[in-house]
Amino acid sequence: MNPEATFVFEGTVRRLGDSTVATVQPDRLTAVVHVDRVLRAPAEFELLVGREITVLLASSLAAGRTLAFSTVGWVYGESLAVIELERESASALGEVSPAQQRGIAWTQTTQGRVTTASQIVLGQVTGLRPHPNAQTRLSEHNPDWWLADVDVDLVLKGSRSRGVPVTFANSLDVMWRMAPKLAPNQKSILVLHEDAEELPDGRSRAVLHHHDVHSPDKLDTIAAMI
Amino acid sequence: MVVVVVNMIPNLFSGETNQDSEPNLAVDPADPRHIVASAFTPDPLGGANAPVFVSNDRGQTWALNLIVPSTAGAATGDITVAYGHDGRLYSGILRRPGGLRLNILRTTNVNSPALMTVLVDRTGSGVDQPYVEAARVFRGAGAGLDRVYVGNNDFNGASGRTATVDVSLDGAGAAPPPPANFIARRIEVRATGGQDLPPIRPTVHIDGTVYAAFIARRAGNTSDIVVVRDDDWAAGATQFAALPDSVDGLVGQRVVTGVNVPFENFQTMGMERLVSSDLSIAVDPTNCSRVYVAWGDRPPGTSNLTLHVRRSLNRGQTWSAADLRTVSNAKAPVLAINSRGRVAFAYQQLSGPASALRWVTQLEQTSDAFVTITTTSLATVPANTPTPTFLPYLGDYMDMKAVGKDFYGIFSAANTPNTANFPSGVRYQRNANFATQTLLANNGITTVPVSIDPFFYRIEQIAPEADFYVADWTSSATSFDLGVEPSVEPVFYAFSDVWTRRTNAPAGFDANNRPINEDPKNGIGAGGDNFAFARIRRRGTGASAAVTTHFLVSEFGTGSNYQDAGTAPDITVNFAAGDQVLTMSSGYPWHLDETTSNHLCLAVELDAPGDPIVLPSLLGRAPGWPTTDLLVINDNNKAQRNMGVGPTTVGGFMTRFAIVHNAATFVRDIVLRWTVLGKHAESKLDRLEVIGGRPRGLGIEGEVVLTGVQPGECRWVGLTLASGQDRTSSLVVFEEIVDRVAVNAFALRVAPCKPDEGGRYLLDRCASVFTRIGALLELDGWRDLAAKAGELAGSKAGAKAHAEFAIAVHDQVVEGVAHAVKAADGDPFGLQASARAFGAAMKDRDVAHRQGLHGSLLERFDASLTMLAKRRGDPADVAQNARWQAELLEQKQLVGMRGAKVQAQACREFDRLFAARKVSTSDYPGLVKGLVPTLRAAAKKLAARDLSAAVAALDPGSEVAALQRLHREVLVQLDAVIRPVRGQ
Repeated sequence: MNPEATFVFEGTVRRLGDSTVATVQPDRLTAVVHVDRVLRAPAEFELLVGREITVLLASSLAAGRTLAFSTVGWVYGESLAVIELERESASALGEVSPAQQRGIAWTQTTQGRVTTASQIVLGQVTGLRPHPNAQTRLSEHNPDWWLADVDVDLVLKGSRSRGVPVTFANSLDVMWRMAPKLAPNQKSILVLHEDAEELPDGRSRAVLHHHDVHSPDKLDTIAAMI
Repeated sequence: MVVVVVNMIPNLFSGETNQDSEPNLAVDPADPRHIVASAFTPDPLGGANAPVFVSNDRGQTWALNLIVPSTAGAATGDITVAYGHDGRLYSGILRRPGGLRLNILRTTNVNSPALMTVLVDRTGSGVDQPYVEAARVFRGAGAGLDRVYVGNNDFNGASGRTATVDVSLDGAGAAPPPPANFIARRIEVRATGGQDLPPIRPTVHIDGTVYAAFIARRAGNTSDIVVVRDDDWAAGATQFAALPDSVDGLVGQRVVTGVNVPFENFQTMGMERLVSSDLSIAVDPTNCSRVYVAWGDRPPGTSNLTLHVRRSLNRGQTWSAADLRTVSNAKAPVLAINSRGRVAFAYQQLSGPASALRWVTQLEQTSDAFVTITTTSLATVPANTPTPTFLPYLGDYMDMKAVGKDFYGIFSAANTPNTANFPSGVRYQRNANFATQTLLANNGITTVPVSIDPFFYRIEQIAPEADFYVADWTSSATSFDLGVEPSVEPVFYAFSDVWTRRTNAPAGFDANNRPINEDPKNGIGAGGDNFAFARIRRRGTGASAAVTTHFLVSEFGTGSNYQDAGTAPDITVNFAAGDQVLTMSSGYPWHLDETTSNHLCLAVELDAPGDPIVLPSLLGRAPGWPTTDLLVINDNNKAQRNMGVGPTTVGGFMTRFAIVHNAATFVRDIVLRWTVLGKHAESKLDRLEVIGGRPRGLGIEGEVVLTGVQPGECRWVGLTLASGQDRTSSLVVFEEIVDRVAVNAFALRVAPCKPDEGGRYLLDRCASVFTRIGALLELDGWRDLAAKAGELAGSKAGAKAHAEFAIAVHDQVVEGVAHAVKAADGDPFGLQASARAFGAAMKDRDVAHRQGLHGSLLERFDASLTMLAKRRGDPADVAQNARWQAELLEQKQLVGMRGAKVQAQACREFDRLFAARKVSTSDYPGLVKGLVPTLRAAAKKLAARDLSAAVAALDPGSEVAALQRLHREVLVQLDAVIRPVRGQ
């Protein structure tokens, strides 16, 4: 499967030069494909099994072929149209479920964050305060930087310390909706980064990504990634 | 009025629970079936690109198309959208990943799988809240180009002056790398309290007037609402500097100062935040001087936001002192003004008791500055369900567009499928059970939680099947005017669906699906009978209807008042339920007498049940007067065609004259701007003549000012244009400019042809002009010559027959020239020199040149005769006389005089009834008769000898043309006495 693909499915090409979406003009590279099996997708898209969708093929293909298509989204209307990135034999992929794929994706993303982190701790938030260097300009998209004083129980990665001030974006704005928020008494595994451009100063250790804060029960999982 | 509300989430996406807030909308001005919308909506599959919502059926159905670059799993940051011409969509976004990173994007096809092209990519100190508007240059320099304006709060602005508009003068031509041809224009000049606030909102009129409103934060945390203006697309040496404040003289008129505009980036109004983003501005498409602004602030003693609406009638210089409309506990104001000048104002109001608060999305419409309001509730939903997943909950702002007569808009609201929540009705694309008030997933079974969805709405003033129109332009069988208002093609008077024929049959359509117009005939009896036709369309089907057609004519040029084409009853065209387009099978009979030139403009006005013309009628008026309303392009019930444009032999040249008539009621300088369109190799033959002045070169564009033109006075301009050696048509467009606005236009076209066709055309011109010579100069023998010419023109004769005829009659023509010069007491059109030039060249072998000279002679003769005819008076100007008379009687020197007020009112009423066809020229003597005692009294009071003489000569028993002339003489004298300062 192509790692960039967001929708991977096993499908059978039904018609070439056709479309299931009104806004997609059929041409020689548009194919109507029956979804036989979903291999990677958000849960609600598993319901597409048994339906026909439109695939903008990367290259021509004969009708009747059954293949695994790695695709990304294009049009969501009365039906789905996707853009093919890669195709391969369905049998080569074996038995994989979308849930397994989502688990794999979570692991890969978290691994990436763990690898680039400067410090990873298990600790508890003892207090919150506005970041002294936060910008004061009036934009609804300000991150609203705050500091959480964290008592460290365990250092998984990086320098040892008993406590660490952790910077986080307290803004509820759409631009920061994915950034984790910390609350008093919250106990978490914190995957800390120092090198993000947007941080208010060069000394901040911050949680920025929604894979940067994990519940303590993930301790073994995170530790195994280090 | 039809109200349509649609939940935009596609059926395939029925399981979605995203908070799709802060919606924005773009409508293709050439084809309103095509609409694009945006919201904080991510790729449902979690991919790296964000979607826009696309509809190709006027918002009935929607799909998501992933064409906006973003980051995996997230919507883009702020996003707004606007259409340019030819399906180009522009967008301003805050790009992710990144902080406040401005991207300006463009696609030429919203249905394409290709990502939008990045034209601007700017971060620096950060840029906030890009808000895009676009328009196509309709006329003049840069005609056809997309102009793009992206308001944004740019923290790169020096000294805290952050209000900015990024401008592209050629959006289609903008090409990476960033910033392409965009330039950031700073529009704040005053000191700020560190910065301006987030919203900078541009609005664009197609005449090049660009306004921008912003909220300027001042020291002490109070704010001013400021409006800046540019009068030429922000294309000049300075930009947005045309509106100095009336108090401090600095750029930017302050609508209001010292208001409290809260910035609270947390839940503070219901579950919504208040981040100083509640601002909207809209310019009237029918009058660029009329502009509305709405903003939100927090008055002392209140806790929520209060919205205010104010208006300027003088291009933003002064504003209504008090609110025209005030709405408390509301946010997200948005204004739009339709092609009738009707204002729509939408907002979201927190309503009800504290225990049961609701967000109510309201739309108000008014045609009288909010004295009377029609309110439509689009949605009323509980304010506490669902809980927010981020801010903004519903959106810091929402959007609405005027689409001709209609309003298209978008809002976000909780999506519980409850009919009580949508008082105007609603249609869901996603699976929903209204009986159980539950949302269902894609499988139709699984229950889905309530979330915030975008809702499209369309307010139709007239149902599509009842909206009849005549196309202003046709390019092909598949490309033509869809009835949009305003019309999108600058040349709306050359390829429109109104035309005339010499016989009572509409003829067919040419290869481009355009009607085939014939020059009208002038003459006695059947010799001057013509038949006007229209192809009538409507925007939908579904009901039978009877459509009445009314045809009018005016002199060729600019500023000439229209009059009824004929006296026959109007023709009704009956549409069956399934008909969408009908061509009149029988023409409207109209007649041109012997004295009248066939260089005319023809117009049609449609009247259908529920779909009348926009008043005033063209009758008795010229487009553009007395307002800057472009009567034809802003009303799809009206169409016009400029006639009298014939073929020109390849290698030769054509000469044509046009009348410039002052349709105003005051003395003024008339500015005429010309532009050459199409492929045209410049020639030394090309020149412009202003009669009474010296010829000048034509170039590609230019401007001439005709000074001190009296009301009702005619001047003439002449154009000589070489046809070149190829067969490509060239078009020279002349625009009448008032206060920088093009209010009227006409075009002259070189349509290259072979010599035989050119010869036949000139023979036909001989028939017309010779008829006029005989009638107007009362000379014998010319009717016979005209008949002979007409006979030859209608035969297979060609260049040779024309040459023989022209030589044979030349001596008589020279004699006619002498008579004409004597009658005119001069030779302003250069008739004698033209006759000599043709006489010297009439046996030349160069057919094209010879024909050009003969054409020039005939056109000069024709124009001379028109000038003579005009000196005798003009029935087309009686309504203008009435308007002028009323205005003068209302001047301070006369208004208190006995009878003045009553007679002024009588004149106003005559003008109104004339346009409504309730009175006609035959009623004009009665009006003048009533005026005479008042005019005598006025002359006495003013002790003006020339005025007294003019009044004494005013004989209401005169025939209409003469009476119009005599009355105009009185008005000229009266005007000179009581309004000596020009333009008052």
